Amino acid sequence: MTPTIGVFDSGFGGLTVLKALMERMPGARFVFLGDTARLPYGSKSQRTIARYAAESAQFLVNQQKAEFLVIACNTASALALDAIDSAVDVPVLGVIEPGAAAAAEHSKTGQVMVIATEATVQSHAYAAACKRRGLHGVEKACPLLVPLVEEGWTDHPVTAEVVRIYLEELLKEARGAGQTPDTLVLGCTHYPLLRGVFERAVPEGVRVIDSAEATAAEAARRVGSVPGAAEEPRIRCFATDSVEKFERLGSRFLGMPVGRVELVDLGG
Amino acid sequence: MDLRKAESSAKLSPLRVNPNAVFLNIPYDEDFRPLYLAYIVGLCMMDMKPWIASGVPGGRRRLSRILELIQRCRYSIHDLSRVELSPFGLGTPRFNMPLELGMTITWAELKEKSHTWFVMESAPRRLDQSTSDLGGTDPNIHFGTVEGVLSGLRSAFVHKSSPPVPKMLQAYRIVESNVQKTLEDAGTHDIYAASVFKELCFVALRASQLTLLEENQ
Repeated sequence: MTPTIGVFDSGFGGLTVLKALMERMPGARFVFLGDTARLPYGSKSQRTIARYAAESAQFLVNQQKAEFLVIACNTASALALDAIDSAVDVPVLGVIEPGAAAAAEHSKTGQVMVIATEATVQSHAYAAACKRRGLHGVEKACPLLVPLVEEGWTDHPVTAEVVRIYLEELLKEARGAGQTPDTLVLGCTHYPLLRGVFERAVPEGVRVIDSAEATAAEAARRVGSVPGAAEEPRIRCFATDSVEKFERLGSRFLGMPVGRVELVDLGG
Repeated sequence: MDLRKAESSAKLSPLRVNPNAVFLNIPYDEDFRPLYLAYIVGLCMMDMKPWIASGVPGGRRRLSRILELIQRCRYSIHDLSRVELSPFGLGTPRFNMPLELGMTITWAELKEKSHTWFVMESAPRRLDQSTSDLGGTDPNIHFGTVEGVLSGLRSAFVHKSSPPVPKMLQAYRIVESNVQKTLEDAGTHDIYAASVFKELCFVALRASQLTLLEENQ
């Protein structure tokens, strides 16, 4: 009687979204798929991303019986949400709209900064989602952050310095455009692990929005109350490749052991 | 960028019959909304998966989509409530439902035992006059009420385990109370839109899970 929620990412960064979901809905059953064999999505064409993401979504819905799908991947949310929605018969939630909605809720100046990967920034999906809510979004790609997180340098002076430089450049760009942003959206599923670093680095009065947390809150609202909150969360993780790496790094993102990761073949 | 090819390659799996899928051939009008919700809730409570034509993705012709749905669904329900003259426009009756029933009967005859269809009506004995060729078919009469639809579904799917109508009504009320929010979230007033239908099915499933859980406690 508990809902099964499918969570999909091109890699395992989406485990930060799963972590937030588990905190919001501890009684739910979760099935996570990391399409690690076809990683990274950011370097692929939109058509290819749409096909990969739709196949992954179909695996979670048709084979794992997910009743609600969370796309815990910014690239897939930005470039393939419609294709995923068309491919499955359950509600689909991406990470971009909830992130922008949370920014709109908290921003007083209506000016927002977004940091993300190159592919997400190039899609301008966050800027568009912000615009729909009457916000002006300045975006910046921060390509060094994902490798630093995967290296485990989440609390390292080098990472803090890289974050400081990126933020300085972003603020300079925003201020150059005559803006006074008061909100920073973490538009990559790896970045919640750097939330503390960002919170220490942003100027006073700038609020850091974690799109993983915002997505989990929206999913919980739509799924509704989940009985059995006292039960141990139930998760099952699948990956299309590199299960050992997934198991090793996954616990860092999930904040607990991911357990045995099952290998699945989704084709080419 | 044109995603049609990518989308179709992702969704066009071979036509396989889903043993729990039910194609709903119903009128999409404002007055039918409560009964539409009743069909969704009733079927979800019987662990069945409702489908409507707008719920099928893709830009193919509507009749092609419907034909594909009929083939994919093990069951179909054809609500012939709207055979009367419409009070709007030119006052013509709606022929879509009988047309799609005809398509379904053809498919069911060609593929013996692969598809079962049911007829629902709001008025008793009207089917004998409106579609006399269906003589010998016993429609389930719902009298245009939510309770009638839920009761009719239980009669049609008598072989399925189904909760009593009051339990179904309890879930119905949960779903009904979520309709406005669902429409707002989808940014539309059209309750029959594909995105709204999908969300309503999920709300119905959750309402069903919660109602039945409450019963078991």
